[in-house]
Parts: sequence; structure tokens; C-alpha cells
Amino acid sequence: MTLAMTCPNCHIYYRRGNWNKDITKFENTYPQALPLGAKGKIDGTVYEVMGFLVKKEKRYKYTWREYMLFNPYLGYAFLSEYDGHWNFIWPIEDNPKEHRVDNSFVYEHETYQLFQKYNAEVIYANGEFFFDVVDLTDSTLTEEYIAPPFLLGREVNEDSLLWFKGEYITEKELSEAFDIPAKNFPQKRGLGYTEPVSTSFSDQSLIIVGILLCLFVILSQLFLSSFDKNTVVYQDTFSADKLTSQKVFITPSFTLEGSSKNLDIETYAPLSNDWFYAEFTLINEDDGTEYNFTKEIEYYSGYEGGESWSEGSMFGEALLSKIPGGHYHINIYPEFSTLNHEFSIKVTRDLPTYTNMWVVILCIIIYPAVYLVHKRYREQARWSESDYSPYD
Amino acid sequence: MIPTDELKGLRYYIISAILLLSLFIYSDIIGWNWFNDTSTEQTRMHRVHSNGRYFYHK
Repeated sequence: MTLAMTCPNCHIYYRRGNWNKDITKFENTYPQALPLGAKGKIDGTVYEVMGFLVKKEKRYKYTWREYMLFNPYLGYAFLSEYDGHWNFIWPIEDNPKEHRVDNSFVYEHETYQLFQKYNAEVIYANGEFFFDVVDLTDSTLTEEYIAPPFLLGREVNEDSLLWFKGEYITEKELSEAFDIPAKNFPQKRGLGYTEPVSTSFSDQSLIIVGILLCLFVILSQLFLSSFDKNTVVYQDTFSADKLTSQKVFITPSFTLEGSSKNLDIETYAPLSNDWFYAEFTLINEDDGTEYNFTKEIEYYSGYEGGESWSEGSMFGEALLSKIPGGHYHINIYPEFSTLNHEFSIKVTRDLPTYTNMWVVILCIIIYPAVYLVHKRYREQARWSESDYSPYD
Repeated sequence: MIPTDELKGLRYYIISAILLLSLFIYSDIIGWNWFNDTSTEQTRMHRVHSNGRYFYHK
């Protein structure tokens, strides 16, 4: 039943049973994004726009807009718009459970944190209303609790306590619901106080998917490694006194079985405060392909200030990728120091390696990590508008 | 465990991860190490004696 309405021409607000035109007259008019009488389907229910309100917060003086909606079976609901962000709000019967310690409420398994408390006044109304919105707004303390994309509203005055629940609704959803172009709506600014950072997935789902993908990568690595043959195809020790006039050691031919695999050449030199350097050429005897690389190893140790120290290593490792199967040998061009006169090499085919796995895991983790940091930043920005920020 | 619509929201992430995983498996099969690899300079000798066991460079 309509208890209040406005005159579309003179903008006077009438209350039922009190038709004194001097009671409330609004000085300014405000544009409406949703015209009176417009019908829209929200969550499967068709609502009609019955009234439009512009409210002003009494302390900080900011304004927002509310549209009163009506459905003959479900009753009334609201669309609230501030800075281009919309919430669909409806009354609820049961009272949420309160946690007094941290100003939060639990409702339908969601915890809602206090975002704002305010007293407001109606500075403009248009249409018809099921209660005296002007007086009721003026005498009501409203508390809003959020768990984006949801909100809980608690309206308290001398006579009543009302609870509302709301949910963020995008411009696109609203545009489709009312068949009104989104360009007609106020331009969005900043982050809405109930606007979710992502509307398409929760943090929990993102983390679970990330963990499952990482586990799958680890299992794949273990599975693939079980097929790695890790075969030593050649090893030998070389002494400087056997160096030819061409200053090169030439290994016997060895065979690399199968298709393309990695090849590990480990060099060892018995060094003591010394170095060893060599240039290597791995030669495919079948097609003449050469793979040239160098390896330098050095090892120093001593005793100083009561402590022994060491740096470097007597081992050096060269890992070559994608070496096709075939017959190979290695030409080694060593450079010996004055102290060391020998070295050895061990050539291993199809060695299990884990670097790629860590790179893939890192890539998989990067997106959730960046998303969660970004979300935290956005949450801080959201709560910077509140007097009850948990980040202060 | 994860709602279908949320999986849909994560589809680009999942598809990207699957593509990366495919590359990872392919790399393991052909012995391609993306990093910690030894830098090699690859050349090709065109006049290799097929019956020669060794040949010399430098």
C-alpha cells in the first residue's frame, strides 16, 4: 500500500493522510538512470521501479541514489547506486548472528565486517513509496556490513530494527535486466565498496586449482624421470704428459642411443689452489654437427684467522640440450696450470633434471600470487573509505 | 569441490598452465633444458669422412 508519493510537476512529497503541501518540497531535481515504471528481471524476478530517492549522509555530506522496486509476490527491494556502483538490496526476515568483538556478523556462512554507520536525509524523492521514506530515513541509524560482493544493512530507529541483504550488480547485468543501455548509467569511479576484485572465481578456488596444477607438474616430473636412463656413455682420465703436438685429446667414439636427449659432461680435476680450463667440441660423426663449449673450474682453500676456508670446486658440469642419437666423440683442448697435470671427464646421457619443473611451478604460482597481492591492494583501497578499516 | 562456474572463470589460467605443462613434457622427452644449460656454439662440418673415426679442429 502506498504511504507516500510525490507530485511529478511540483516535486512536493505527500504523506498518506497528510496532504499539506508545505510539509516537504525538494529544491533540486536529480536525473534518474532508471525511469519510474521501468521493469527489469533480477535473479529471475520481474521488478518495477516505483520510486527514486537521493540521500545525503549527514556527517560527510556525500550523496547516493536509491530506486525502490516492487514485485507483487516478493514485495519491495532496492537498487542503490554510488559512484556508478550498484547494489541490489532486499529485506531479510532472520537476524544475522553478531560477533561483538570485531564488529562483524555471520549470515549464511559469510562473515560481514562493519564498513560504515551513518545517519542520512532524503534530499530528493520521486514516485510512490510503501513507507514514509523521508521521516524514516531521518530517524534511522544505518549500519552496513560487507563481505564483497554481499552487504548486510541494519536500520535501527525507535520503533523498529530492519535487516537488509544486498549484492553487487554490474552495469552490464543491470543494463540487460532493464534493457537500458549501460551508457545511460552514471560513470563508474574507483572501487565500489561491495565490488568484488574478481566476479568469476573465489580465492579458495584459485588456490586449489594452483595447488592441483603444481601437484600435477610434480607427478609428471616423477613419471618422466622414471624413464630417464641416466647412462654413463664414456669416462676417462687425461694426463698432460700424453697431450699430442696438436694440444688436443680426442676421445674414442661413443654411441648415444635413441632420439634427442640431454647430455651431461662432468669434468673433474684434482685441484689445490689451482685452476683448470678446457675447450670442448662434441662432434656428431654421422652428420658433422659440432657443439663447442668451454669449462673452467677452480678451487682454492686455506686457513686464516683460526678458520679454514675454501671456494670453488674441483668439479665442473656442462649440460647440453637436445643432442640427437648417433656416434660421437669429443675433442678436448685443455689448458693446464703449472701445478695440475690431469683431469677426467664423465659423459652421461639422458640425465633427469628438475630445473624445468621449478620454472613451470614458478609460472603457475605467479598468477595467484600477483592476483592475491593485487586483491590485497584493492581491499586496502576499498577500506580506505571506511572508518572501520581492518588495515588501520 | 570447485563450482563449475568458477572453473569457467579460471579457464584462461588453466589453459595457460596446460599449454605450459605440455611444453614441459615435450621438453623432457627431447632433453631440452630451458635454463642452467651450457651455452654451446653449434656448427656443421660438411666434409666429414664417413669412414673416419676422428677428425681434427683448430
